[in-house]
Amino acid sequence: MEDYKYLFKVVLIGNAGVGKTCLVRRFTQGIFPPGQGATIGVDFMIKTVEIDGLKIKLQIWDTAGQERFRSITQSYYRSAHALILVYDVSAQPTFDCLPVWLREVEEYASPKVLRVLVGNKVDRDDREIPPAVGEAFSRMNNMYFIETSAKDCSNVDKLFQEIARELIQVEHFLLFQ
Amino acid sequence: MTDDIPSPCDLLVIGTGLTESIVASAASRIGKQVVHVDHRDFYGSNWATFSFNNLHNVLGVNKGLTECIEETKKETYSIHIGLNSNTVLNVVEKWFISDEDVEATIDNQLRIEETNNGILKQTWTKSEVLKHSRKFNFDLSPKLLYSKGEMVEVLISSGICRYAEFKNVSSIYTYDNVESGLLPVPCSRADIFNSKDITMIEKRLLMKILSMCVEYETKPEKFQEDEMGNFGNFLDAHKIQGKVRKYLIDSVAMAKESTNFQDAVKNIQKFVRSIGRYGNTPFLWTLYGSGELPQCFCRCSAVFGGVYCLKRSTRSIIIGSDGQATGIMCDNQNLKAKFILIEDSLNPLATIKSGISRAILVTNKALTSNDQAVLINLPSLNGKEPVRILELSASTMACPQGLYVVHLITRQVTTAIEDLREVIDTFFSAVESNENEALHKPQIIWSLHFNINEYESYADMLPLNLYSSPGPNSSMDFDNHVIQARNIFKSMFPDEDFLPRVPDPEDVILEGSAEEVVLQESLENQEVHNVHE
Repeated sequence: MEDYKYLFKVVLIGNAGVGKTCLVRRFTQGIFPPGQGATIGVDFMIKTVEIDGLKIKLQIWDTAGQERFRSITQSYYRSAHALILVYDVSAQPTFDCLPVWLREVEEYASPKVLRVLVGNKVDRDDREIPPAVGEAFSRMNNMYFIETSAKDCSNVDKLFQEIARELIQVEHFLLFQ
Repeated sequence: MTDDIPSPCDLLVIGTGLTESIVASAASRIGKQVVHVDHRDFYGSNWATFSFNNLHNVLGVNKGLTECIEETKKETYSIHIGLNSNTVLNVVEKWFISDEDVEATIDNQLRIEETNNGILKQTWTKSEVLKHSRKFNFDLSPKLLYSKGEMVEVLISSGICRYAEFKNVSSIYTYDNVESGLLPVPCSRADIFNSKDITMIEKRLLMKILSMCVEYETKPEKFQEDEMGNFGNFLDAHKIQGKVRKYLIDSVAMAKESTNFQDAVKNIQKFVRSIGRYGNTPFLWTLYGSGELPQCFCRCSAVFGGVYCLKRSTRSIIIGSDGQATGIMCDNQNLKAKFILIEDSLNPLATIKSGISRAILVTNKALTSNDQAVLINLPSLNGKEPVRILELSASTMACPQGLYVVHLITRQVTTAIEDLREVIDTFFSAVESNENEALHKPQIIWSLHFNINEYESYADMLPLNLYSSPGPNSSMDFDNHVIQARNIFKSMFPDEDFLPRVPDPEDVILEGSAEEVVLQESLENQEVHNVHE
């Protein structure tokens, strides 16, 4: 029998090469780097987390490479509970693209979707985007913000734990209404 | 990251319509390298679904596509891809409500209360409708799935159904011209016996014909040679008249009097077998619109390594000295491929065969009690083509609460406006009429008419490794397209399985080190589990 209380769909977006797949693989399997071509045939990854004694199953969807030529299917966004928009703190262009991604989110994702901005690769010493800049952008766009490194594992578990925690709260809030 | 598309590949697909997307996913699934391009900035080509704003952008863009540029290579020649051909034409958009918010909010509330006895009435303005732009999902080619048809089977057997959600069509109607009203079509055995519209004798006759048709292959002795001309003759031979005849022709067989007997029987079989699998009618509707389905197949292809690239102008197909297609010119890149599949409407060697007349209406009231999706099959009158109406409510994600999206579909004779005028006038009102009539006819808030060309191409005119795939037709279901996609795939890769089941993501075992980690983790999880017990 399936042993969990809630199942949430989490989708990742962001430019190619910002480390979306690495984040997922680090979180679900604890490995880095995941190796080339490893994602062939993998639609989404599953991991169960525990929040206050409740088992929460996260179904984490990756872009399947469709972001490479900016050709994500709209149906990818449908029925997502949370959406993680990732940029690379050491690559300005990946940050500059965020508004374009947000436009797509506005158009196709549910208005109620939980939106999280993630600055990845904080382990690198050639940082171009200071934390305050990412933070300010997230506040302006009504998103949660966290900086991570899939390589040294910092904040990766926290990112998904917080998402799970937040989603349960929303769920409970709706129940009590 | 470079902007170059990988080349060469096994299969190059041009156009992201349904047939192309199915073939792309099937090829990726067996490990072929697939590159899938489209010059449009959206998925689905003539199968796409649009929000209000996107619809405006697209129909605007369609009118002025840029000219192709001449491009020839030594010792090869190239044929230009017909980007200029306007597949969607005669586009006419019309608003039937005022532009400004004339009604004050308080007034609105009053109106709602006034008509509280059953019908919730709300006054909409143009700006209010546009404010909900993204809640609308307008299909260029709305289609239904037979619950036991080819599309449902392939979605289930491949596992691709996980990308979409569906709702049952809640009821089916035909039109009774004697009593000038909609006539519900009883679908299940229980429906037939509970029907108050037909007599006991008629019920028995209907059941007899249905079971005869279902057993057509196994008990052919029940059929006389002379009955099997057209469907009308067959019904004559069995003295089927009145409403039962209407049910059978218009809705169950989705046919005309003159339809070939075998074709009608095939449809009846599909109809009867599909009933009861998911609900009381044989049909499913895709939430968020039919345009989701091509995208589901594209996602599957991408998951298995397919490369996706919208907004790439595909200018010409390059033919080598041996008469085989070697690749295409895509922007400034020469993409080489073993096989090429191009959608009919872009294929310069395809010709226009016929067309579909379409209208999309937004109305303020359901034609019948409808909280999901309703199909209305209108008979062909005075030699005209049958018209099908699909009315979608907010629960199908087609529009905001309180509004309805109505699709009208028929074969093109003149233009969409002319072909559908009579039907629209019969069922809908263009103006907000007095209360009494408003109780009968839904008011049109917005309408869009257009025609879609249907193309055909002859395989013997094309290089052997160049395939052309059909765009949407006027039938109400997807099954022909699934069959055609399978045939194209089988012709390219004769010994391969067509869309075998995708492994469940929870069962995928990843390479080397990962496997150990997974194992270790599952042990850890077990421990946690035990502690909690």
